Amino acid sequence: MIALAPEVRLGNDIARQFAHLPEREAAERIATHIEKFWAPRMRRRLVELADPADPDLDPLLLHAVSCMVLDDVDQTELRFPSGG
Amino acid sequence: MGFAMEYAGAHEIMDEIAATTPTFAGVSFARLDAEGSMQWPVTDAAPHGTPTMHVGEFVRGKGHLVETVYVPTTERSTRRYPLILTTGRILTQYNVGAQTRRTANNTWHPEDVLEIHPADAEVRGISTGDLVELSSRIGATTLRAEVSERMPAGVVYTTFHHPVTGANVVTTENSDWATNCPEYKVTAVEVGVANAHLETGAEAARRELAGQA
Repeated sequence: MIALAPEVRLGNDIARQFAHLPEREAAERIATHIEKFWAPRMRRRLVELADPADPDLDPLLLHAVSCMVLDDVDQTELRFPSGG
Repeated sequence: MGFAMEYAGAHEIMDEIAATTPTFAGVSFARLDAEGSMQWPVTDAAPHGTPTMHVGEFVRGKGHLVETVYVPTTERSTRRYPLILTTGRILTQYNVGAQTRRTANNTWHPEDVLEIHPADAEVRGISTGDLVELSSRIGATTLRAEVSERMPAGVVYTTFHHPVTGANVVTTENSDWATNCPEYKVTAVEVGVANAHLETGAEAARRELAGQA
């Protein structure tokens, strides 16, 4: 078994979580989650790895990557952590 | 390292934290002495601190509840790894090793042991106190077995309080989709009697400590 790149493994996990939604909504929710909670370097790496010919990538994740905003992510909710 | 850090006292370190951390902006030793205690955030908007973080609503407004669907793990028991390993904590070692390990908790829990159901133990020829090898598709470690009715058949359990045991060497890279919390409760494993000449990680650590003394 060949280990997947962490960005692909984690991205596929997120994609599976939204797979029950209509595809366009699912893709947007996945993209939003990654934009908000992944470090910029991980987001850039995922974009590099998002090869439509790669069978290891969930097609829903590929769709989400095409929706992703790479810059100017709204960090409002992250600026005031609620502790813990 | 070796960066010049010349403080006249702890109060200057507090001042530096206040200068660099917005939620601590209003905290100083003088203010703490005056107030007795302050709950962060201490800011211009809340100069006496914030005893209750959110009142009425959150920063974003109402709490945002999200429906999540159940997505089973991809980890599967197989013929090669027929048991499921769950790792966890026990009360008498609750993360003291992750802090300072300066307390005598080892009196109660000197090493991590593998708990296994009597039926699973019997078919593998394992008795309490035997050295067993615990292996998954990720890795393997060696520890002592404890045959226990506490376990359901098919499930084995160990704690991760002693790093020499290496419980996390065996667990998978799987994690929760939203929080990245590792999936330490579900790893397909096999257990077998280990070669008698092997020593457990705990024994090796004790031997090394004895050698140093």
